[in-house]
Amino acid sequence: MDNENFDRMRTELLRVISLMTLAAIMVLLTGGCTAALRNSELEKVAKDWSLVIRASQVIPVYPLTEDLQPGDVLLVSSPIEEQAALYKKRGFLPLDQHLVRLYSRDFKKFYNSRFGTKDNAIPPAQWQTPDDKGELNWKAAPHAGFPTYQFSVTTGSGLNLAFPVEGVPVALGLMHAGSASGTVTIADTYTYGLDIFHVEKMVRSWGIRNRKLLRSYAPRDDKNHFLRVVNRVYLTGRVNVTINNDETTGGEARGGADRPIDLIMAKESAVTQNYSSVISAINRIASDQIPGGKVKFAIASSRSVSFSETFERPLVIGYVGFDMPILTGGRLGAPISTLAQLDGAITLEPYQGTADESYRLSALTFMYEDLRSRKESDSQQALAGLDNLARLLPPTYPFSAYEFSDPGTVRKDLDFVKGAEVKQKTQRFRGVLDYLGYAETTVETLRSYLPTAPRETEAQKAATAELGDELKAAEESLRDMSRQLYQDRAVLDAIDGVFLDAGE
Amino acid sequence: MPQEENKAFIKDKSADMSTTDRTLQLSATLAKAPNVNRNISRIERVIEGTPGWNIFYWSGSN
Repeated sequence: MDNENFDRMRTELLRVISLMTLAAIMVLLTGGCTAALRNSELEKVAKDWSLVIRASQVIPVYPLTEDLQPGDVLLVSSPIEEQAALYKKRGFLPLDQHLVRLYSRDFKKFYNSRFGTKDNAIPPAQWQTPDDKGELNWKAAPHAGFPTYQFSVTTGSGLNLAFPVEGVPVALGLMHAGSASGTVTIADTYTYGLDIFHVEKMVRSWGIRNRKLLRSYAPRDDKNHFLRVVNRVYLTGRVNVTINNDETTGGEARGGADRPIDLIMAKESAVTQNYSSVISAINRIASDQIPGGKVKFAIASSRSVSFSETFERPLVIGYVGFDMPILTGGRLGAPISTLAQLDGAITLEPYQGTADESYRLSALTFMYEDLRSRKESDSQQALAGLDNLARLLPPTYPFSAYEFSDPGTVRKDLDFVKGAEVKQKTQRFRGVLDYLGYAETTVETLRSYLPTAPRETEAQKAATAELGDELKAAEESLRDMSRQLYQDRAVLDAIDGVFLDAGE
Repeated sequence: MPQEENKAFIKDKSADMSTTDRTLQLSATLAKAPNVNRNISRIERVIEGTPGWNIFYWSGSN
């Protein structure tokens, strides 16, 4: 080797080493940036996938799972505003804390024995069980349909991790494509569920039995926890994908005929035979790359690749559900559509009250009398807690009590008079109930009387105005006392002790 | 103070209440103040005019 050749080799070697060093430094410097980019690409793909599910009024599940079914109850701890913002940003919601799975035996009744529903078989059990030929019976399940989903992707974005269809990165590799666009058809789609009426009853019954657990999630700072209840799920058994190579449609695309995928075994002639061989070969390669041989390529060229991917068993892609707010004392509120909540749609606020105020008060009276008649230590403890609530009574009456003596004639009470000392303080919880009773009677009487009260003379007008003020004071007192009372632990414990424990 | 019979009137919540609802309303009213503490002598159903219940009770002491 002469000196000239040696110098040339040394220069070339140094150049390669310099380039490698520079590349290493670049990788180190841009590592964080690439990771961030990958995360953002992953989120985008997840969101795109979720949007097509959402467009069908279904809440997307991501990643896809087999293990979600009607009767699943999730505990949602973050406020609904945050949930809605997250849903808007990501396109899907994490499945939160799986609180309980409730099994209903009403499927056969709901489907009127159709779709292979049987006694004592809770779906999807009857469709998941292989028949004599070893095949699943999913075809018997109610079918559904989803629109075609269009997407665009680039390689190097960690696509195979985010996209729920494994064949896509293989297809991109076959086309030698850096970027591509395509369509996904969600095929073999099934759905099953139950009506809200039955599921809500089931959840409410569970809620009563587990009041002590739910009580821990009572509202605080005007914010509610929710139970998110799944009452319908959508599943897919197969997806059909067509991917077009965006690079061949750009400026670098060759004119003329489409090129087949380059494989070593392709011969120079026999186009049809070649094509079949190539497709078979690709399917063999795919079955090696994706265990289970579930990806089947139908068309493969440098411009486009079509394949279908069959899941071993259908996977849940989305669900329909409703939210039930957990109220004071662990009671459950009325069901509200989850989708409406997440989309921020204006919905009519359901009536969350469960009883007329006057019936509630009489129930409390009977509950108090029941506790007084019991000798157990638990009851005595609950009774002491209730009696301690006499501390909530004001020192003087904030309004005067009224009732009807005859239709159209109101009479003022002689003892319960505004400004007088509250007598009920010494009567413990009985005094609290009496105070509320007078307040309720006054509110009912004056609300009924005032719209038709005489207002002809100045004296009548003044008397009516005075009664109006009394009504306002009575309403305010009733509201304040009720709010304090029905949120108090002592009352909730007593209610549970008398009404709930009796059934256990 | 000699005892005398007084009367309180309970108006029906609505005109088309069923018998069960009317009875429930009466029970709830009797279970709370001021009626719960009264010495009730008799209860009458009012049909004519404004429908409801007349509750007669003794006040004062012998």
